[in-house]
Amino acid sequence: MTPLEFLLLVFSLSVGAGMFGALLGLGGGIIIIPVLTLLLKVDIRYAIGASIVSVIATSSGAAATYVKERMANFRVAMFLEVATTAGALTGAYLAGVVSRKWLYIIFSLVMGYTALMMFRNRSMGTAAEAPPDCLADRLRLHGSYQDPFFGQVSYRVTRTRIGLGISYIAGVLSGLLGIGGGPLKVPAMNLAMQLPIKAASATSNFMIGITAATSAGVYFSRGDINPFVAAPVAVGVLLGSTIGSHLLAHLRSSVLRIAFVGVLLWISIQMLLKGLQ
Amino acid sequence: MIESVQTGNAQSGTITDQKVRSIELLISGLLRGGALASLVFIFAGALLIFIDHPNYLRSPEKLHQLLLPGAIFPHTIADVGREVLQLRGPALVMVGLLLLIVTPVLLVAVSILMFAYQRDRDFVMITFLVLMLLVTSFLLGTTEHSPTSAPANQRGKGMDVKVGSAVGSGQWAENPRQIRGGKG
Repeated sequence: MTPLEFLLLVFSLSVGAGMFGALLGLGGGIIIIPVLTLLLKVDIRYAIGASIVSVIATSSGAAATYVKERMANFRVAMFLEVATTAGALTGAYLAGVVSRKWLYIIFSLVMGYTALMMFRNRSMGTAAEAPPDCLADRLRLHGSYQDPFFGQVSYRVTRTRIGLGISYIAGVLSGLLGIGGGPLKVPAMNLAMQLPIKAASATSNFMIGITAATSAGVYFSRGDINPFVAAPVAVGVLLGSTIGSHLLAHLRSSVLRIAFVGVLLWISIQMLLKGLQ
Repeated sequence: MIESVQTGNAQSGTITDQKVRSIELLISGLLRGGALASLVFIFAGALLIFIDHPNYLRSPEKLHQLLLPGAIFPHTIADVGREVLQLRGPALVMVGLLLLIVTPVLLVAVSILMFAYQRDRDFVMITFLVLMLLVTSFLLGTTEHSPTSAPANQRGKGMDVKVGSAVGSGQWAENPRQIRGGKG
């Protein structure tokens, strides 16, 4: 393979990863890292550096659309980001203390349980009855978006404290295990805070870019961001996530939920295998 | 929120709504602008790379030098700055990637100003707190990585990604062991 062919191949695969990430509120590292290392034999460090760039590109490409179309709830994102970043800091401190083996197993079980919960609620529409939440009222976290199937969907955010708690835990885990908060934050926003799945995914998309940007600085200074690998990923993912962000509104929520359940199960199995090693 | 605007106190509601809208449009524009600026630099850099190295179009051997450990490219701000002035392709591409990385942080900073302008005191505090936490974790990540830091060295074996991921990235599969585990 010549360098030019490599660039074009990585670019095209990244378009797919960007679309996927934009729809599910994840970074796309699930696709980028295995493709680069196993298929294209790129050094793992450069693959990881590229996947961090991919997370930011997914977020920038998709969130621009989501914020403009009000699919992402900007206020909820900033509100939860406090807990996530604080959690990530805690995780960084705990990293030397806690046994990773058990964390992987616990995390795997949490993921499996979350997948089950999301599967059981797969046909659930927007929240029927939301318990009042004075913090959500005070911070004006409630939102609405335009859905091609239901027209204007208004939702009331609830259980903000549980949402904060889970976001904090998501941050701690990402600090400890290098697992992004996306897979935990989407269910937290959807199941606990009662954001519709599309809003939850879009809001998560917005948040992952902010969190990843801080770690990206470290990867850069360590020389893990190889322009020859990261640039085609960035360009492809930006294009893919922009396309994906325009598709989200037109997908059925139940389809999105099932896809998310699949990803959660996949992560859960991977974590379990690592824990049992 | 839209509902309450449409029903209740229409006047104050519309003003709030316009304010919120202006923030949303600014944020969206900032993200798009950052991405576009980044693309411009990446494409300009790529063009220069292929002009400087025409054999990249044909020779398969060159690829390995670019992908294996020890590949040569600028990875400090100073190097990038110096090489950009010499119009070197990889440095221009790096500027593009750095612009992409900086955009979300800039976004948080800008939204503080916007909330302050709108006198939304709660959200000025929230976004300010987020920015402070981001800066803290960035600084901790950098210092933790310094070669004198013991914990970072201890974790070097197979967990060399830990430092970066410790700051909390947005995706899950950034641990090298994961991939190795997958292979065998």
